[in-house]
Amino acid sequence: MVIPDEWVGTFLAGLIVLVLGQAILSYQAFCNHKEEVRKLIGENKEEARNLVEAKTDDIARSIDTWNIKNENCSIRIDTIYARLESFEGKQERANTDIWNQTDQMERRLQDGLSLLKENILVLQTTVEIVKIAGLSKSDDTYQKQQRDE
Amino acid sequence: MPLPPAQLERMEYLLGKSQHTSLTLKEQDELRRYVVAEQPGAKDATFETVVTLGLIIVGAYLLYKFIESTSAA
Repeated sequence: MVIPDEWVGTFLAGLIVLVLGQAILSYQAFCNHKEEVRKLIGENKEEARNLVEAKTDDIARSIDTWNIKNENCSIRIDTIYARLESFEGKQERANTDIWNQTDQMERRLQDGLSLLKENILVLQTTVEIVKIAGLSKSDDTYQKQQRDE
Repeated sequence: MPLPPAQLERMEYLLGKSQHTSLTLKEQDELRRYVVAEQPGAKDATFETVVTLGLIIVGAYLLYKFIESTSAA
């Protein structure tokens, strides 16, 4: 069987038309997809920008909050330092008072001790004299009674 | 002075004797009794302290008598 040349030409032409049609359709689909991608990227960019702005706002607020907290901490630290200095001053004054009182008490005790020593010396001397007198009198009485016996 | 003259003289004798010889236990008790009559705090004191207190009592009594005789004269 012999295929006529017209059929072959027609078949090839149809084939070329089909290939070209398919190429045009593919290109059109590619262009559509490209457009969609562009739109999607554009939307995403907007969302990302909004998100970044929101995050930036959050970070700025956090920084402000931290600054306020830091300031409060600084104020508290200053207050604590002031109280500490005040307490140290009071403690120093109390120490000075205590040492002054201790010195006064020591002086009084030393005065009292000196007086006591003098009184003891007087008392010891008196006792010794009285004791000697008693010793002499007792000895006399004993000797006298010995002689009488 | 709570001690009567006779007991005071006896105490003087015992004190004089203690300077020459050691006292018997009975004499020591007697001397302690006389001293405690004058000074109740000497009840539990050692015998040496009792003798010392006795000598002071006798000496004080002697001084008392001396001052009394001087003021009477």
